[in-house]
Amino acid sequence: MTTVCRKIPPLTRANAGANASRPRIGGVRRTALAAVILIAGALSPGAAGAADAPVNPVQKGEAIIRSLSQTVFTVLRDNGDRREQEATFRTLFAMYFDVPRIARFVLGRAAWSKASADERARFLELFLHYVVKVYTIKLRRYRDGNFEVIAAGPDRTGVVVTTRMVGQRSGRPFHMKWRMRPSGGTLKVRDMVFENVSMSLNQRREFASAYRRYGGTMAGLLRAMRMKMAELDGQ
Amino acid sequence: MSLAACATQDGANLGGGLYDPVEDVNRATFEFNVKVDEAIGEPIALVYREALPRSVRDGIRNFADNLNSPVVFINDLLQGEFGRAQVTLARFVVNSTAGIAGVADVATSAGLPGRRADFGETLAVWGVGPGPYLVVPFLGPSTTRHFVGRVADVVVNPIGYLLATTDYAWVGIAERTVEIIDQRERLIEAVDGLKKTSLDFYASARSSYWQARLAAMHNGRSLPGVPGDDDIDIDDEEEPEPKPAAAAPKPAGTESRRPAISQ
Repeated sequence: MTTVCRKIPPLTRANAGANASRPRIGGVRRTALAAVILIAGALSPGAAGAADAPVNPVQKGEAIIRSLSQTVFTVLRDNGDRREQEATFRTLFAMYFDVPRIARFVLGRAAWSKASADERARFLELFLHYVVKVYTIKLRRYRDGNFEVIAAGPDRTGVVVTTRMVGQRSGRPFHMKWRMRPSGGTLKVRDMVFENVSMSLNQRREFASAYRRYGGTMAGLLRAMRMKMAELDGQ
Repeated sequence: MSLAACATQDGANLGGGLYDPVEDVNRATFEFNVKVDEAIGEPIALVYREALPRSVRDGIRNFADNLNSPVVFINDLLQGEFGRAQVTLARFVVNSTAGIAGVADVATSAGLPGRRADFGETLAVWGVGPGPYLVVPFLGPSTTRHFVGRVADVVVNPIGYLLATTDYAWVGIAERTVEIIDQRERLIEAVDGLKKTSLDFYASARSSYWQARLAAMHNGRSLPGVPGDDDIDIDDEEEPEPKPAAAAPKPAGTESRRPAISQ
């Protein structure tokens, strides 16, 4: 499985064009699903024992981010349907991001403490769908872009991997740091820092403001999230 | 204290010593700025991107940066960054001559990479706090300290004085205008994405501004006590904000000898 995954060629404009011209036999869902299966098999904890598997956390983190980024760009290029992409990204997000910890960080201490167990569960469920919807829209702007891993190293208790990405429309590179932490026997992404701006911290402050403006209750926040999701679906 | 009160305080506290005590006024100004941007700023930025190839836009950017070099030089000195001041001076000389009036950044190719410095940053190094968060009409997010710094930088720029005393005063105005358009062009995707997907665009823009500003004040240095992206405490969600006094210690060997930026 690992070998198969490593045969994914580097994404260049040339082979992106090849992908675009390839007949889509069987529909786009299969392409996206295959991409998820490939990356899942290659990066699962069990695959770590393979001969050419990463030997330390930094290498493992780098391999995860490299494969994850390749998969994301592959899905963006091969699959033009937003909802199909969203479904694939939801699977990837749940697998490779520490969603419960991110959600709790974003909600903040006060609101998390006040919430009932049922409200927390509903927030976690909705947060997964909300974030994926938001990032699918953002990522689609970079579907003609490219990326490269430029650095990887330890980060407190985890690993930070830096990628350099180029959006074709702007033509300018930007940097993304992927901060990862051990979770469930592997490394999971806890934060993405886009050009020095932490997405987790941004969302934490955004959600704190929305929480306050929608009545200071979890019900209000969930309503705001659903309204935004409906608005995004309508675009 | 009620939860609502806690939430209000958390929402207004941006970390790094910055608060937003006049949020209602700032929100109104922000909405005004968004309308102005939608009507003028973004359309011009899109035309600018479409009309000029990236190489030309980079040349314009380099030209503007070069004209701003004296301001960077002065602030380097005021911050005690004498090594950087030397580099800034060398860059100005090289780019103004070999770089054809600064259009080509040949200094970077020659191993002299540029760094920005402004008076807001200098004030921070001197121990001046950020003051309240401020949304300035037409200019956008700022802090009191940052805004004072921007005004001071315009006032002290010797090239501005030189141009004003000649028939080339328009060059300074044109340079500043194009610089604003160029900055906006670089943010087309980021601003549009944030605006469309945020639960609260104002709060997202405020947070993005402040994080980016803190990183700019770090300016490639390790400054103890200043929260940067590495200090965001994603490991403990019980901690509401990165607190300067409780900032996690840097790994051994990374301590800076630079003065701390005041929070």
